Amino acid sequence: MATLQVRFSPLPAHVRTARLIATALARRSGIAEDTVDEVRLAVGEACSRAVELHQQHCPDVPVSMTLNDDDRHFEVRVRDCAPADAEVAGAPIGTEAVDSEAVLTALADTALAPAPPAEASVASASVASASVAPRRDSPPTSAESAREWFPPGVSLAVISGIVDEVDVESTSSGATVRMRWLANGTGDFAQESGVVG
Amino acid sequence: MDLSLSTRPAGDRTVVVVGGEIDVYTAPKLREQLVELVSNGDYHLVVDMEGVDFLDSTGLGVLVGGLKRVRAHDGSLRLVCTQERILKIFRITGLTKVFPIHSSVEEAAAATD
Repeated sequence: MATLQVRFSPLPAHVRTARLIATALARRSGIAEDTVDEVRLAVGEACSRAVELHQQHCPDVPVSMTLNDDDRHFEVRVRDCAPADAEVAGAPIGTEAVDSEAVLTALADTALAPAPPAEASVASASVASASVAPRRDSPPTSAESAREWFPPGVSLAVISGIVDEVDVESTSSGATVRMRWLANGTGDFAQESGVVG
Repeated sequence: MDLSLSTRPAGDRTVVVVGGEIDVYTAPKLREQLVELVSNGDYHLVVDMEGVDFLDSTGLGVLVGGLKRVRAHDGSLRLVCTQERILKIFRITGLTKVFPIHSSVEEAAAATD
């Protein structure tokens, strides 16, 4: 079994680095290229979720990503330091698999709904001195603002939509998103199960 | 790969050509571009995503934000995308019901419904 652990400051720029590391190791563990794309997206979602939570709750604490390859599986764990109730209305946090359906239904509904009144008032406040039509936006100030109207928990819902084996373990000091893929390519697993081809 | 952005007119619409990775780091730049277009009065947008290598939920959030902005002006936001790995995230999130997705800029620029 091989292990690699990465700790990075909760900065959006580091999420890409984390994705690159995860995809490189996924390839080494013999995961098929289609699945490597899933690893890239799932790890990206897990890390950006953690970065956003850290920026809100614990900006000085690094995000931790641990990758394991035990010949049969490729596993990535992303740990955050956010309190258990950080994602109030999002995907349920617990040891059960994430139920994504409600979150994704809410997502489509949110996308189709008109912009909430709060947006208009914020927008008009930002241009009050300019005296122009009140349909302006303030410039993006953080990674969080880019997410805009999305309901919380979208990242976990996306992860559960693409990864067969995923669970979220929550403790008082943070949560760990654990994602697991079968390493069924050219690694030792293929030899052990007699499917070397 | 970082994010690349450029715009060009196509009839009465504006094409936003996006390349590279749209993620938590680069999504604010795309957001800024869409906000700027709408503030300039460009309410009918075609976002060409054929050069996009990676898209996550942060990027989806920006596209949804763009859609809401143009709709507030009776505008439209159409996507051009034929890449399976990008289309997949739209399907997973149910956003194929929200965005008109076309296979070419020409098709998107000519679409009326």
